[in-house]
Amino acid sequence: MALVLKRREIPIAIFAVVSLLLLADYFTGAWPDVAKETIGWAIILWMFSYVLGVTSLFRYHLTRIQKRSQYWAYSVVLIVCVFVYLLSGLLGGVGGFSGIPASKAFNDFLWLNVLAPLQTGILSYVGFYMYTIFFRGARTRSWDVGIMMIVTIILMLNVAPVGMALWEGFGPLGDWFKDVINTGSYRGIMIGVGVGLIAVWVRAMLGYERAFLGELSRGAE
Amino acid sequence: MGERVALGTFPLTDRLVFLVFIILVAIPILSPIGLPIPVTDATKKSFKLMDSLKSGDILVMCFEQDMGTFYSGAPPDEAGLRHAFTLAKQRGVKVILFGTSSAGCKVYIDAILMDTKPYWEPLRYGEDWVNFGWLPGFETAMAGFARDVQGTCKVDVYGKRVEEIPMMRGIKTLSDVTGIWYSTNTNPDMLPRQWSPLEYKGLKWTICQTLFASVPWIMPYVDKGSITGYVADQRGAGEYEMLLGKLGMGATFMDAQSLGHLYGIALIVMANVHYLYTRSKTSKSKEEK
Repeated sequence: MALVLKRREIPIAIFAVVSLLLLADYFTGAWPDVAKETIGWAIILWMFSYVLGVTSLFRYHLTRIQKRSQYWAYSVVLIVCVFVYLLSGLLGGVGGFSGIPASKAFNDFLWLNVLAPLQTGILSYVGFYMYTIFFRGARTRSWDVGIMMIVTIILMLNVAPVGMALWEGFGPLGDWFKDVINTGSYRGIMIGVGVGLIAVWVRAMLGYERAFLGELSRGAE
Repeated sequence: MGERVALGTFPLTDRLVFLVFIILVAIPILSPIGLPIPVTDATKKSFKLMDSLKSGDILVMCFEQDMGTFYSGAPPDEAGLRHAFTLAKQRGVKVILFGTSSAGCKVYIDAILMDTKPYWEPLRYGEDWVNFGWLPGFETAMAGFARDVQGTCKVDVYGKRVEEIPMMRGIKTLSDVTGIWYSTNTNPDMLPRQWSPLEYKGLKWTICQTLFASVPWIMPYVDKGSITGYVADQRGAGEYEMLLGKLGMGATFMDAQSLGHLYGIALIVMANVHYLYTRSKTSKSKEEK
């Protein structure tokens, strides 16, 4: 029995039936209730993926602590942070439980005054590096690069109000690059992605694409 | 563990570039210059769509954002939310809020709600507006909301069941919603895939608030009507605030953006002048040899 349940044909069959059902309902509207229920299951499964993620995270870091691997102290910090944040959130009030106001305030404080500035700060580094790249890397070595530089400057002046204040033409000129050239390119990319998705779906239905089963795809071994 | 990088390890030129950048961005934030912000047709259209809401119309504001892009995404969302609450107060428009990313509801709803308190405070929670917090599942949650609003939004952030929320009575599917404001940074195509006004007859329009870099991504959908309007980034926020008649975060950041972009252009020009000069000097010395 256990061997039968381990067969890879079972998840592939579930995938095929569910995706065909949702696709058929999308185009025909024949089984709205079944589709609604299936999407509801998907949302529940999504929530379980968080439990799985936290379990894997704990298993990995607890093993590191146990083995005293290099920089294991950071694993302790991580586990403590997860616990503190999780507990303060749960005690702060979940669902019908109104919670402890101080715990909610502490949880909000952690999010808004610790996590949020850290995340924003990390992304802001990109801005600084971009400006050094402007200085170090933006060198017109060929005509292609020259065209790219000119378009970059036009778009920078199109976005910032100072551009329009300097010359009104930066508005329509920048919009043309954005709405015609860029949009045309994106349309091509989107069609490519769409066709690629269909190909992946067909491969998954036929059992060639197995990444979602935790295996290597056929041809990738 | 990565290599440790201290500011002192950066070359002097890089540190100078950083310093000038910080000064140029800080000055207009501390003391706004007040450069004019021309309003684009795209933002005007989005403003008109929001302004077309009437008494009893349902507006959904969904936030799919990350904290990293807070200062790009929050200003336009705040302007949109201010507009929505003003319409709720003046005309009786009903506003539904939720996020499809955990950061989206925690930051973009909680933080923006803190800033817009004077706008929602006079309103009746549960009758004029409601906050469902985070709906897990990203695109699946959006698909679920479209087909079964009550089944997807089971409880609000206070744990109140949807059946007990008066304004939610009669809202069964996306066809019962009038307009959508969808805020995202890099996932704009989930909006036309799941919430297209072309598919749901009752849904009159959708507005996508996204990064400036994502605008070309959504333009094919805008051309076909799958997305009705868009508001782009801080620039869109500044424009929206001009139309609202009350300036905020967006307008403040626009001066900083202007100076920052001028500085970037100056660096590009300087780099190229230096490069051409060095190249001509090297080729001359080679010829002499």
